[in-house]
Amino acid sequence: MTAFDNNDEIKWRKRLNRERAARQTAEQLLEEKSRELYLLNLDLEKQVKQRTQELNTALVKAETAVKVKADFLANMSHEIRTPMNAIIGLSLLGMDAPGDKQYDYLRNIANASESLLVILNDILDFSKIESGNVKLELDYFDLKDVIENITMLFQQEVQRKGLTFNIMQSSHLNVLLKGDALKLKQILINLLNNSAKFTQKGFVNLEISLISQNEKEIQLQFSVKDSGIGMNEEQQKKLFQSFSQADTSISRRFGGSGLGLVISQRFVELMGGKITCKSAPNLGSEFCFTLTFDVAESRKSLEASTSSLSNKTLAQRLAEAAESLKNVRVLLVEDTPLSQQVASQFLRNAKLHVTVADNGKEALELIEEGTFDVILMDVQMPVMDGFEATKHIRENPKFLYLPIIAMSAGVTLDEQEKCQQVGMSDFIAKPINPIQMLEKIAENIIIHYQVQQIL
Amino acid sequence: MLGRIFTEFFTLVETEFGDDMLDDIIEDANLPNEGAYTAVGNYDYLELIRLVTALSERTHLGVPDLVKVFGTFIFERLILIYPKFTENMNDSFTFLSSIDNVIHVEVKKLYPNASLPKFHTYFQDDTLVMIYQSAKNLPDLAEGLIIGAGKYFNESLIIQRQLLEDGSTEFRITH
Repeated sequence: MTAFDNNDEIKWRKRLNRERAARQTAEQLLEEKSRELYLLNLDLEKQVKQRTQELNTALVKAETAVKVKADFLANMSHEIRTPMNAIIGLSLLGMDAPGDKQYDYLRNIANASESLLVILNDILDFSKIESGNVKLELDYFDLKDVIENITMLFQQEVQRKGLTFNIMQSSHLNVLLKGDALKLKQILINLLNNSAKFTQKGFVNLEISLISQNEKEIQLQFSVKDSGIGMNEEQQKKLFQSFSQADTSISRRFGGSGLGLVISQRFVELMGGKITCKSAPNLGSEFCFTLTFDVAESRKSLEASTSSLSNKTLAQRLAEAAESLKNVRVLLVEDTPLSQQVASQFLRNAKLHVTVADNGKEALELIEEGTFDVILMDVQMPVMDGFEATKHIRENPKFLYLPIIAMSAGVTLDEQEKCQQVGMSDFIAKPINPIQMLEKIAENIIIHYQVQQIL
Repeated sequence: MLGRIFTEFFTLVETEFGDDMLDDIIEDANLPNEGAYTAVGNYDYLELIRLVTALSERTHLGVPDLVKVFGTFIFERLILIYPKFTENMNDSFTFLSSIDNVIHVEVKKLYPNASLPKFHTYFQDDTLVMIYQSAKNLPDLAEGLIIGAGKYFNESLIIQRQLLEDGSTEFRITH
C-alpha cells in the first residue's frame, strides 16, 4: 500500500468523483428523457387509437354508403324495368290487337310511362337534395288552390283503388300565404300517394288545422291519415332514411322509388318543419308536420304573383290553349325521328302549322325563307346544337324577340340556365306534356305580341 | 455544445497523451463541473476551448493543429456511433453535401436543444465549395471533420480555406 503515495490517492479520488458526478448527471438526463418519451408515447397511442377509430367509422360509413347505393341502383333498375316491361310488352301486343283492344293497350302504356316518369323525377329531386341544390321559391299563394289542385291529381288514384278521400279543414282561411306552393303540393301528394299505396280499403284523409294565427304569421298543421297496413316501430325508424323502404320486400309488392318520403322530409325541413309519423301494424298510419307561413297584407298580392295553380280541368285547359293557337306557325327543330313525330303530331292535333328542321343549321336556313310565330328547339343535335342555333338567330335584329322555346331531356338547373343565357325564351322538359307545351307556346306568343306593341 | 464532443475529446487526450495529462488539463482549465461531462448533456463550448488551450500549453502544440486533429478523430468516432449517416454513401462529397439537410435534421430530432453549425455546399465544376458558419466559429474543427471524411472514404482531399468578410469560412475541396 505504500506504493500509493498521497498524491496518487488524491488523483484517484478526483477521477472517481468526476466519473460519479458524470454518471449522476447522465442518469438524471436519461430519466428526464425517458419520462418525456413515455408521455410522448402515451400521446401517440391515444392519437393512433383515435385515428384508427375515425378511420374505422369512415370506412363503415363509406361501405354502408356504397352498399346503400348499390341496393338503390338494383332497386331502381327493378322499378324502372317494371313499367318498361309493361310499355314494351303492351306495345308488342297492341300491334297485333284489333282496333277496340288497342285503346286499352295504349291507355295502359301511357299509365306505365307516367309511373316511369315519377320514378325518374324522384331520382332527380333526390340527387338535387343530395348535392344541396334545392332552394325554396317563395311567393304568395292561396291554400285553397293548392288543395283543389291536389284533389284533382289525387282523386283518380283514390277512385282506382276504391278508397274514400276526405279533406278536413278546421277553419276557412281567408288570407294568402307566402311560401313554396309547388313544393308544398309535392309533399302532400307524396304523402297521400304513399298512404294510398299501403291502403287496400278504407280511407286516406288530409287534415289541415290552424294552430295559431296573428297579423304576420300563420301556423298550420298538415296531417295525412290512412286505414292501411301500418308499420311497426322498427319500420318507422327506417322510414326517412335515403333509399330505404320499410322493407325491401315492400317495394317488390308496392313499387315506388323509396325516395318519396325522404324527398318530402327534406322539403319540409327546408320550410322549417319536420314530418313525424304515428303508426301501428294494421291500424293505419298518420304523417304529420307543422309549418309557419308569413301572411300577405292583402289579397291583391296574388294578382301580382303567378296564377299557375289554375283550377280548370286538364281538358278545359287543353281546349283553351288549342283554341288560341289555331294556325300558329311552329318551327320544330329536333333531330330524333321519334321525338319529331311525337311533338309534331301533338301540335298538328291542336291545329298548329308545323315545319320540321333536323338540326340547328337547317333551322337557320328555314327561318330565312318562311315566317314562324315560335321555334321549338331541341338542345342536343348533330351539325349544330340548339345553343349555337339560338345564338345565331338572336344575332339578327329581326328575330330578337321571336319566341324560342328549348325542348330538352336535360332537366338540370345548369342546362336550363344555359338555355336562358344563350337567349332562349322558355324551357319545356321531355317527356313532353302536350298541355304544358301548348300553354307555354301560347304564353310566349302573347308576350311576344305585347313586346311588339310596346316597340 | 453536445456532451458527446467533450467525452470524445477526453478519449482522444487519454489515448494520445495519457490519463495524467487529462487530469492535468482539467485542473488547468478550472472547469465549473470539474470535468464531469456526460455524452447526453449539453455544455458551454468555451469550456472545450479552455481544455484545448490547456492541452496546447502543456504539449506545446498549436491550438489550431490540436483542434484539427480532434476534428478528424471525432469524425471517425461519430461514424462509428451513428453508422446510419454514411449508409449508401460512397464518397466524401456526397456525405459533406448531406450534413445540413440530412444529418443535422436527424441530430435535431435526438437533441432538440443542440445549436448546430451550418454547412452550405455547392459545386463549381469539380470543386465542392463549403461555407462554414457557426456562432462558435471553430473552422479548425470543421477542417478536421473534412479531413476525417476524406480518410473515411479513402480519398486524398486538397482543402483550401479562406475567411470570408462576414466571418464565415469557405472551404474549396478538390481531389
